[in-house]
Amino acid sequence: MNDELVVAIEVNGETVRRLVPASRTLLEFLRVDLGLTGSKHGCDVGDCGACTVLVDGVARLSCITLAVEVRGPVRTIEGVPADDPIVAAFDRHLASQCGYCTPGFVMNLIGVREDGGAPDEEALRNALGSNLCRCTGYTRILDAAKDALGQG
Amino acid sequence: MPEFEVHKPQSVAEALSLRSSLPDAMYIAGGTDLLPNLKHHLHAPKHLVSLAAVQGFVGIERSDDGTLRIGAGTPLQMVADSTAVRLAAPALAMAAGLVAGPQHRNMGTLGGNVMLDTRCLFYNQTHHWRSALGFCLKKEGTWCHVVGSKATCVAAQSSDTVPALVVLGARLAVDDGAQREIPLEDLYAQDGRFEEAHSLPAHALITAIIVPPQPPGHRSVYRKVRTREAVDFPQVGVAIAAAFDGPLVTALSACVGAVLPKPRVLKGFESGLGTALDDATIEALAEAAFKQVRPQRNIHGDPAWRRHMVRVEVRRALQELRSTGRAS
Amino acid sequence: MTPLIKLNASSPHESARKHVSGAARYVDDLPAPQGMLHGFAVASPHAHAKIVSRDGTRARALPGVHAVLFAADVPGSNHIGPVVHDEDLLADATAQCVGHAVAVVVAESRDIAREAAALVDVVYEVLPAILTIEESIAAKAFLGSPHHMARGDVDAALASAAIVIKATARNPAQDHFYLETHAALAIPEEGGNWLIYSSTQHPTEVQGEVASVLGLPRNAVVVEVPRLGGGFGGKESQASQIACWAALGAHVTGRPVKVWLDREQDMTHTGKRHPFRTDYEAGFDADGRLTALRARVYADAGFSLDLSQAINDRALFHLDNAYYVPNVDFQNFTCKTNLLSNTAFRGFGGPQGMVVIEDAMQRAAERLGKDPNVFRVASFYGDAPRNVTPYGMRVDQPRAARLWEELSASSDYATRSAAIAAHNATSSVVKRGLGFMPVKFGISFTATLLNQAGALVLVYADGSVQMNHGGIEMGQGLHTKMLAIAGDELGVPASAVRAMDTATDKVPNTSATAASSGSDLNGWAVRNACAEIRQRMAVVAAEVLGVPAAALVFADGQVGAPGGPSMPFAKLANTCWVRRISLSSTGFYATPDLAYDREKGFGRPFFYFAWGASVVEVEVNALTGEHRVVRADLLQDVGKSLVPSIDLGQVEGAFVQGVGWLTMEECLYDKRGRFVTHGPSTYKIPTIGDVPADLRVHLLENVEQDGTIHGSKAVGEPPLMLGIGVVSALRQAIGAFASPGHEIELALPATPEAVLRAIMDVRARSAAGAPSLHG
Repeated sequence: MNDELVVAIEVNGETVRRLVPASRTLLEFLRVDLGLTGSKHGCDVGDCGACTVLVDGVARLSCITLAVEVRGPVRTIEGVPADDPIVAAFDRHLASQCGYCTPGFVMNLIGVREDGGAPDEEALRNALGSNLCRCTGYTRILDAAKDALGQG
Repeated sequence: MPEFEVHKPQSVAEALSLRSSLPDAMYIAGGTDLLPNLKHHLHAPKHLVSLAAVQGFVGIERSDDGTLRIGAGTPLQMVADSTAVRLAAPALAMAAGLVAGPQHRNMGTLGGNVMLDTRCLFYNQTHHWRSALGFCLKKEGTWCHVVGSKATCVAAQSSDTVPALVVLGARLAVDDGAQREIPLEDLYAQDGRFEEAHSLPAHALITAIIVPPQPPGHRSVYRKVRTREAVDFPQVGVAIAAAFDGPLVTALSACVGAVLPKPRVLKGFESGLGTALDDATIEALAEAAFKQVRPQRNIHGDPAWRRHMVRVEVRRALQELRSTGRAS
Repeated sequence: MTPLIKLNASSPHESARKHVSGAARYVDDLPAPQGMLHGFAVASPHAHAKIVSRDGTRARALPGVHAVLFAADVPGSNHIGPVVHDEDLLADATAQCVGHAVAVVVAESRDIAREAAALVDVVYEVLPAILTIEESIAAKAFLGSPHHMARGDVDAALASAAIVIKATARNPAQDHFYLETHAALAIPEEGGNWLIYSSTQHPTEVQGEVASVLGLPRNAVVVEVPRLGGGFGGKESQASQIACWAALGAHVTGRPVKVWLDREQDMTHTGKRHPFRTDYEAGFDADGRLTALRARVYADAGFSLDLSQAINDRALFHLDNAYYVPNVDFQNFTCKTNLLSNTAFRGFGGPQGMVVIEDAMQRAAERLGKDPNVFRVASFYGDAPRNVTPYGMRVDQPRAARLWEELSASSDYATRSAAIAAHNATSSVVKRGLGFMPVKFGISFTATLLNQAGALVLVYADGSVQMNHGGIEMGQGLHTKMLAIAGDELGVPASAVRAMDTATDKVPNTSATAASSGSDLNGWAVRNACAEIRQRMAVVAAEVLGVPAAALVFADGQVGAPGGPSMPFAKLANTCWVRRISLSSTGFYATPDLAYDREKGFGRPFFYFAWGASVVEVEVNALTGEHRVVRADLLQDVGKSLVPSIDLGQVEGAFVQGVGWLTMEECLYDKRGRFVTHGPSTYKIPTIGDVPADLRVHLLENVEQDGTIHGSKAVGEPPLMLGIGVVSALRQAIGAFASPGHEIELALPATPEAVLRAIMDVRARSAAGAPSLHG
């Protein structure tokens, strides 16, 4: 029991290998084992979206994903270039206040973009439905999303 | 989180063998239900048998006779987006699309949603919180704090897709060494305790959810009551399936979820057959639904209001079915 | 690209780039120091219990456990508390609420600590507990000292009033639900000194509490705060216990200790917004003017005083809201209960006070079948003598009438009101309501001594600048405003100024970043520090450039006389260094003219008032009670805005938080005092789908304020109360389902259940045979 095992995951384009317990969540793997602290521990039970990362291009909640279960490349906020249009739109629209929820929103929106199409406002509200923000009242986040994903 | 080992079988047979041979093992699919529950120390498995790599577990097939065979590992979002499902079983697509939030639907599977653990305000809490109460009938205790009894656990079956699957007459492809099909409805028991709530042997695996061909003129709908526009489990879920011949109803069945451990198939809906779902019929059916369903203080929301919402949502669902026909 | 921050101009948040790149660090993100251990608190499962025995033997036996600490292990004082030290850091003789820490386990990992926590054996003898305000009143279990304000003759005014409303107003609790939960990291340093990283709005308090718990002078403890992932008042006093657990663990083990609370711990260890019960009588004259208000205000403090007295006092200060009440008799009582110790939350009692008088306005209108705004507008503060608050402070520049005028025009109030009336006349299932809410909010800590702030500004020889001040950046944009002020004062781009993490070794004896005061107080302190340095630099520049110092302008990174010679700021800085001129300075500010006598209930507790108003339209479904905000128009007076983009964001966010409080967020305790809704799935803050699709936010123009930093006004808290407009709107819509003339009984939060009950109730009173929820 309690055996550690080697987890090898491609994170932001680089394959990393670490010896971790099987119970290690992807969020802890990123934060503790790799020091990538951009993904946040907002609730730890998958209900706030602050830990959202992409696995194989699809938005997932890293706090309720086991690292050993990850199949496919992982992309975190640290792997998003500064000139990404979504990042730029968040900047432009002052879509962050305390910033704690921001990486989760950005990653979720990148997932929406990778899914293709030009979502309308309602689709964006649905897509962002389980990312909680306590500061902004969401209006500017929605503005940024519309702007970046073609509805601006 | 408890410490455990994770096993990744490639086939159903391997999964079954692992699950049977390992002590204190549990299956894990999408993990959206299991992992929060593990973090709450609701279970302490020594082994998790992952279904993520099992071959043939993901996918939606439509056979020539219109049967849908949905792999148990199919993500809910894929079910919601599937054209085949939307056309053949609209209520299922709707329900799958209303589960929690988008990330949960990317992760969670239809099989997992069918096997969702029952939920209760006295159960989905931390170990410390539950220990302070002397635990509860559902887990580690002997007393149900909701109804004040030792007899039955009334935790709510909180899946969105289950009521939809019930009214669609879905069957489960089950493998516990032998392969067979059982009606989905038979999976659920009156007792919401973890070991009792599902009638299958613990090691049995649901490999697929089978939605039979629906009668001509099929329409179906799922309606969900929840506090917020996203994230939340249902406070009440209503699914209704019907078939129409012109304006007249030729088949009608309804099921209410998120009330008790067993999804409630509503009785008396045959009285809607042969009608055009006129207002009086709808009202009578909504009233019948109200009379049959008695929510408890087991999940979020005033039980009297939730009961009232059963009536409202049955009415709305029937109106929706009626008007869908007019529109098309 | 460096973000462009400029005074009085819309600017990005100074950390925006770091937020969106994940580079912004919060306490839990800091790299783990060598040998770091993890602390985990053991919480009492009982609301009130004698601790018979405690035993950490089994827990200590678990591999990886380094210490199990109880009250007796505290080297200094085990008593903490922001005003009076009435809380046991670790419960000693008795545990006072469910969640009260009894022990702290320190272990190699958080998982081990958590596992060990379950093995700590504590034997309790359960004692009777007080779990409601009513039980507390019956037991006379009051904390602090009641506050009384009186003016005129309430009895006579009520006797001659055209209409008297007698009612009880209640408001619910609210969890802060900042996205970043509490965290602290305590690092032992050489010589018995300490470095504490804490997610606190009040580093000086954490410094004082840690020093007291460890039995050290304050200079042995440095508290540093990188930034907060939201605070909202929940990290003002509540952060101390977490930091003290970490410090105690580190003291005993000699190793760094981190305590990070998961969401459920955060919600079960820390207090909420106070629920209040207020019994009141209000009188109105025939024109709808308020003539009298008598109020007995009861706040549920929880198990300790914390900041409850000040919060309850602020409720009294805001019972009048934007209205002149000639005859008043206000008294508050701070009720002890065996629940989590309730604490500061954006508005700090102000919202709880305003809910009362708005309840009176609504009831008066509902009873008479009139527009409640007739009562509101008639009662606004105005010219003398209608410009003096119940506590004797003059209301200069009353703005409610102007706000009503401008907002009703810009929101098209009259037209929409008529359209809604027409809609409601024909629609039987869905009715609409249009609510109006004026807000007057007093700015200053009501404890006068707290209205002080310091700054420390350092100019380096290359012209780059470090700015320290006592305020905490928690998302509200304080650093952005401070950078704008410093850049403006020194005449350099804000990008040349670095906002340093807040730390007690840079600025001592700070007040909490609270009471909306962050930019008012720290802004002046920063400006004063910069002005001091600028003055010294100007002397040198005058010599170098050969122009009088008085003629020099510092702007755009240049120093010079207009039309005359100039030099770069950086070059001047170097010249100052060469000439041995000091390039660092502290700055200090104390708000002038404050004087309040609490015994007499009289004086000037506030430097000024911030004003605002909202018009909120809702739609209500009579079949279900479901409702939504269709549109909201907000107009806020922020003086001359320091950074308008930041202020607009504050207004939007605060409004949504206020609406969440009043319509959606439920803090439920069970019969034994256990907080039930302590997770993100059961405690429901608004999601993006729950906020109004049409939200129009504006700042009032041409309202530069005298004496404040660059003519600005505070913005953090006041707009939360704009959310109360949703209640007014809901009540109007609910009333439309019945015949006029009936007061609405709407419980808060106005969940669909509550709204449906209110509809059924008013229908039952207005006509026989109305349906009930059980029918």
